[in-house]
Amino acid sequence: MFELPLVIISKRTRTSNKLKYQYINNLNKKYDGINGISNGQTELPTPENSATETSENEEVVQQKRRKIKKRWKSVVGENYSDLESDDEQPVEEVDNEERKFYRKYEKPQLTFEKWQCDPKRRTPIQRHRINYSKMNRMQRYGYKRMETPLAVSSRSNKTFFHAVTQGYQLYDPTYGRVNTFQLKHIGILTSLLHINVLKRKWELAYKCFALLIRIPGVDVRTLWGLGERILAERQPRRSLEFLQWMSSVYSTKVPLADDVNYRMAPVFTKGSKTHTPKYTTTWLWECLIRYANGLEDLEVDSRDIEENFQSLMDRISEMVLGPPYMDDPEVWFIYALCHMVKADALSQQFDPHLTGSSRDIASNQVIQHIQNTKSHLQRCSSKGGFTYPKRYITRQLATFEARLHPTIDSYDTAEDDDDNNEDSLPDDENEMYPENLDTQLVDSEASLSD
Amino acid sequence: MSSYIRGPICGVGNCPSRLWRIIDGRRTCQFGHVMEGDVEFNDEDEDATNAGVVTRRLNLTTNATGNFQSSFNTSQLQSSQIEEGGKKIFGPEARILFIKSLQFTLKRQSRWLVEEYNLPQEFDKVIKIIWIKILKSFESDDNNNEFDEQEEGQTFDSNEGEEHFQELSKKRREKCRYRLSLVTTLAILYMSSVQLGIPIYTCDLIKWAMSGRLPYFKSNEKLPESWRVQLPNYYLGILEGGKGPLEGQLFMHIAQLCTKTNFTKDFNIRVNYECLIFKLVLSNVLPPEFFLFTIQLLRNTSEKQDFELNTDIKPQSWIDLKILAYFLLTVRWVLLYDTESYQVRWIHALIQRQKRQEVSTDTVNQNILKISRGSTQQIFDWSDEDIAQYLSWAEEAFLPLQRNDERLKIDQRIAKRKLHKLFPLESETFNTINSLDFQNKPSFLNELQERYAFFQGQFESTDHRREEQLVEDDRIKAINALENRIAQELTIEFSISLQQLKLAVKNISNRCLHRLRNELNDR
Repeated sequence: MFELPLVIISKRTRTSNKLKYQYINNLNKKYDGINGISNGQTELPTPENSATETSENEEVVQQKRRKIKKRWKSVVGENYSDLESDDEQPVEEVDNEERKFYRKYEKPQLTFEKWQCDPKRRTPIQRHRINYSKMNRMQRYGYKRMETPLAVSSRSNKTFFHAVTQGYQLYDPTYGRVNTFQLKHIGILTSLLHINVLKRKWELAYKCFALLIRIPGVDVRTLWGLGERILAERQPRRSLEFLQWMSSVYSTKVPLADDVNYRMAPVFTKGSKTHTPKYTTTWLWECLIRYANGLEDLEVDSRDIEENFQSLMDRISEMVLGPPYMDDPEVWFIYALCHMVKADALSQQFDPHLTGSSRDIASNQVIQHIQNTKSHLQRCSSKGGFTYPKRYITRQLATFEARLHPTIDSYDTAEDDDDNNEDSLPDDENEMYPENLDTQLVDSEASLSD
Repeated sequence: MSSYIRGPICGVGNCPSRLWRIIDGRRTCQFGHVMEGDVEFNDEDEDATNAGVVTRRLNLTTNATGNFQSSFNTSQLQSSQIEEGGKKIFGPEARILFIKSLQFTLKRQSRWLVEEYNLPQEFDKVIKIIWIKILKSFESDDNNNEFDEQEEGQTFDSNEGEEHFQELSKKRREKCRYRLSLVTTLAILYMSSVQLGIPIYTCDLIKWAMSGRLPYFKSNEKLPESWRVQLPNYYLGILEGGKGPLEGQLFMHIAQLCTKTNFTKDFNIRVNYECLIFKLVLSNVLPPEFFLFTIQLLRNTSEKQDFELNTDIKPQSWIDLKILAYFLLTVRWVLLYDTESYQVRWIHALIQRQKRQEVSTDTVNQNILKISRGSTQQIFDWSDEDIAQYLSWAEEAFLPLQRNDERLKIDQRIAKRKLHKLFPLESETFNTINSLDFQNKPSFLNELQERYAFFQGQFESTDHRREEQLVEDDRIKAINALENRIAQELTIEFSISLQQLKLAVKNISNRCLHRLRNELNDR
């Protein structure tokens, strides 16, 4: 019923993927050949010479790759092979075919949540039509090239290949029709977890989750959303700890080899050099929102929260120094909001009766934060792909600034805006706040759409 | 002051230091240069409980060039893919190691049975004897095979003929070669309990194994580490247990083992069928007279050797299956002909009998067995109590089966531990309505009494008058329904297919009718 939170990468799936992509690449090559698409390369390949040439080319590329790899290994030592994480030869080949295929497209982790609506970025639909005989020719060519690898592959892989080339899809027996003792019970636990979360029975769901993460082979990254929600229901403080654990343990500092596992949406399960993992952004948002609410709540001991808030800002300021956070507008936006909240708090504490240098220091602090907010927002919008209520924020910042110079006539409006602020700032955050956090729900899609 | 850790060359202003220490959470080199971007946070509260625990930092390890390796390898879960190449052994050596591991598992199983159910010490010894006999048979098999191969070379000259013959003989050998698996261990356990006359039946063994109590599933994880590293994956897969015994595999194994070990000659082979029938009657909440009826029918229509272990692998000669067939047949016939003592509404009540929530461990095990065999869809209908029951089973029986992966690096292990600390698993913190009941489960006997009493209450509360008008047709329907229900449960408990059970029932009923007719004719 529900997807198992397991990473199942067997050699079989790897080879079958390899076969699939090899076939597709061959078809493509033939297709390009027939239609005279040069594919960026200089020569126009005919079937014969392309067959010989490309295989040579491939070999050269392979050798090069191997050499590079060897060098890397000698330089970096074991670590490199650890990252590759699989036995060397087959993976490399799989990656080769698969990467060759995906090079033509944007990586799923890039396209997953972004829908290209920008008319400028649209790529024209390919209008080349092929007739039936041409298609047959292509297919024959594709099959011919696949003969050798198919001959050495296992029976299940052959079945898989033939089914896929005919346009069918094989139902993976490890999903759904689970029968072995281990998988069956993992499946039951997973279903129970989902059911109980749906029914909002947090105690039971908690137990399911706690059991699941103790089973080796279960990947926390596929379940973290549920885990966070459950923990937020039971002990809100610990859910932040959990998110922090997620982002520190599965940090993107480790340069990721492109994992071959496309079965699970990478956006929600991992980060990369170019992609901030969702658990990290969730963690930052949660921190920001909780601490900001804490600042406004007068009953709570404010010193503790201020400290927390400061540490959050420090943390973000460090994060934005390196990729992928450096290039993520969302992180910059959060950073800007941090400064804004700070400016808000400081400007509210601002005592207009102060005089002399202490007054200057206090007002400078506020202005500093406001400046920071502006500059970070600038950075955020320069990265693109992220929109926010610009006018609203500038107005807010203006009111913060106005608090520093209270005059009799502006007092009222400032007060008004203050109310406004309290209502609408959390409102704005609510939109971001993943109230019903679900790994399937892209929480900031609204802002990313344009 | 903390001691130094060897790391990468510092390099700030040509600083040659390779030694680092941690000052205020920042990694600082011997000469006081602070490493960039390497800050540690320790915002965990220092609990009093952890006072004695030495805390370790996440990023301590260094790689070959001495760079500090950032903590957790993201692909740690695929680490199982990294083979310890070369350590595996293959061929006959691997086979011997596999047999060794199977023996290890068998030993654990017998120890568990002896401890848990207070079986006599002789149980262990009988198992040992049977196991030795099996091993001996393997030895003689191997000799025979070698002998065969020698002969082949001599007798056949033409290549084609030889190939053909080899293929044939290979096939034949495959056919009669006995395949060891975990089911074998169950078969051995059963055989030794038959030898000692202990009322343990196949259904019990299957139940204990499927509910994770008897060491069966994932026994590959419990092997000594050095063995596990060496065993080829194929054998590890066998030792994992897979789906458990299906479709009467267990009976096949028992029959084959009987051939192998000459069990029928040297051992006590009479199966204690009375106990099994008694068990069946009780577990289906039937009145005790059914026990007598069944025994009567069985004694009248069968010979003594019908209930002795034999070497026949056909379903008709599986003992437990025969007993089941007799039981089902008795229930059917008695209900069909004794219309006065057993009214239709009584049968209906029997069919609609509800299960009770307070259950003993034994029933929990049985429920788990049913869950493992049934479809996953049914869990949508579970009540909270069902879920809680299942979860507590998972905690106490399923989780201990899982291996603590020793191959994880120290960082990974620390991270894992931290995660587990975030999600503590304590039965105390888990308060559902029934958690108290689960802690002191009723014994099986109590539950049985409850079950009978509960059924009686249910039966009496049904409406009397409405049922009186039911016609004979309904009676047969009801009996069929009851029979189906019992059969369904039995197929799961004994892990046989419904077809096999039906065949057995048909067989037995034919035989009974034949006998009875003969007797009538004699008179």
